[in-house]
Amino acid sequence: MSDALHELTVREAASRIASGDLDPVEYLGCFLDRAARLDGKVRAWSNLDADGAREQARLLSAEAKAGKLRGPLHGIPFGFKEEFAVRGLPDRSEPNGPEGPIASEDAAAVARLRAAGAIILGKTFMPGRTGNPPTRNPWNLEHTAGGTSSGSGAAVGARFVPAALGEQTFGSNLRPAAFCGVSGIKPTFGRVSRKGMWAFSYSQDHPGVIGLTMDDMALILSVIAGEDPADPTTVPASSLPSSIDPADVKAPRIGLVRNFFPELTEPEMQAAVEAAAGKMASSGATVKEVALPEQFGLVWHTHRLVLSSEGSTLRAQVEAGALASGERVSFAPGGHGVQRLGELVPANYYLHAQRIRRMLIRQMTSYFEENGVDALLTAVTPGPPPKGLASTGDPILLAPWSHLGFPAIAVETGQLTSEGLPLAVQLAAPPLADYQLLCVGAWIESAVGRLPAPPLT
Amino acid sequence: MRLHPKLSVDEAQQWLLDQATLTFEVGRSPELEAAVRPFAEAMAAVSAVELPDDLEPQFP
Repeated sequence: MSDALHELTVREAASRIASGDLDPVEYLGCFLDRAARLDGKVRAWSNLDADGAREQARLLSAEAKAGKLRGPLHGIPFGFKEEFAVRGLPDRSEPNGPEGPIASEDAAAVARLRAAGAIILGKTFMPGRTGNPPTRNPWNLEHTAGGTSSGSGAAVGARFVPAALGEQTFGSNLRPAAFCGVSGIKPTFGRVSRKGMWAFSYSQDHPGVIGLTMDDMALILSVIAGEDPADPTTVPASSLPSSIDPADVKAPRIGLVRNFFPELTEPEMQAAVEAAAGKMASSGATVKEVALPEQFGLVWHTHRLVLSSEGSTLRAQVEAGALASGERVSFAPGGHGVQRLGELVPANYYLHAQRIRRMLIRQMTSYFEENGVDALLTAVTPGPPPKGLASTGDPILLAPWSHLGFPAIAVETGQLTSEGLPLAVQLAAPPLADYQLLCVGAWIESAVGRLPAPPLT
Repeated sequence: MRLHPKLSVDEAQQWLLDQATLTFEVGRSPELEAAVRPFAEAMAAVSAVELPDDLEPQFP
């Protein structure tokens, strides 16, 4: 157990708070102090509600002293990607809109955390939104922190908060976790309600967790997962264990993917994947080289058609407003017009893509058992975190699991680039095998170890 | 746009460019051509896939 409060895992801190060994006010103060000293460099927080958090902490402290614990996260501070509605904080209902009114209720995941005793510390930046500065990587401030959840990734990476929620439609929960030297899970689609979150793609938006350990993510996921009548896509799956049972952390069977993904991966990153696979094998894992079905290559095409169609439908009103205001339609990379190309996808192509998607889900659901593997191993991104803040990196290796809805995690390999940036790997498992995948990740943590906090001063 | 027989990338590209100029009231440009190219490739790829009649679309 670490003595530095900002290095405590959620499990450790919650245990100390429950036993009376740690006061929520003191614990929160550690994070507020770090943010005050360091967030001017990192730029993770878009709305740090320090006063509101102190008030919550004082109340939770009194309750803990009276022997009342609200739940397993009593006194644990959390950050939230801007797209989550948080009661009492300004809400923006779409990515480039003006700051809207104060939200009157929490997003479903936020509400569940609050009910479990979490301290709602604030919202984290979504780079790319109008007026938002790019978030910097706490491991090297000249590099990006990752995708649109980069504020959440950087907040956890910099130890401004022990855990945060992000969201992944393309590749934006696992990428910032990987780039910032921590862990992330994109759960099975439907595990976590999307109610109260900004929508980009009806069938591909995944609320996700960014945390320090697999066990922490199991705990948090057990709180936020579950069927929600307000979100018809949530699945009536059985509840998830709130901790990783050590008996379930066994040497896993890893499928090292040899087609599609390596072709999209840069040599330095692929070398990190190979080194991680070698370390896993030498630590007792069964690592076998596998090839994905030939038709798997369609997944990037179907993802594009579905994402753009659903996105342009959701954004039709916004785009019409922009056009009416005389905004020029630009088709340069990142331009306004590129966001609108989904309007051109014919309905029969959208539906055909969705039929192919079902075929791929069926194929890949049985693939794991047929090939005797618990998880598939690839890189998270084609390369290390890019230098500069203009790009948040490439999500292409994350798109398949976002599209198929399979759970995926980012796990650090313990390796750093010559510029001091973390190198992580991605593992994916069949639908609803979220807990089993976290157990695989926990075994890798034990074999490889976790990264410490970055040398940020 | 037709699904069968399958489209070529060039056919899809031409169709997308025609639709883009009508929808967005813009002229053709190298930027527009580059932007629609991945969509043309995606349309061509999926149109080449024959599926069983009873395979329903995936909706959450």
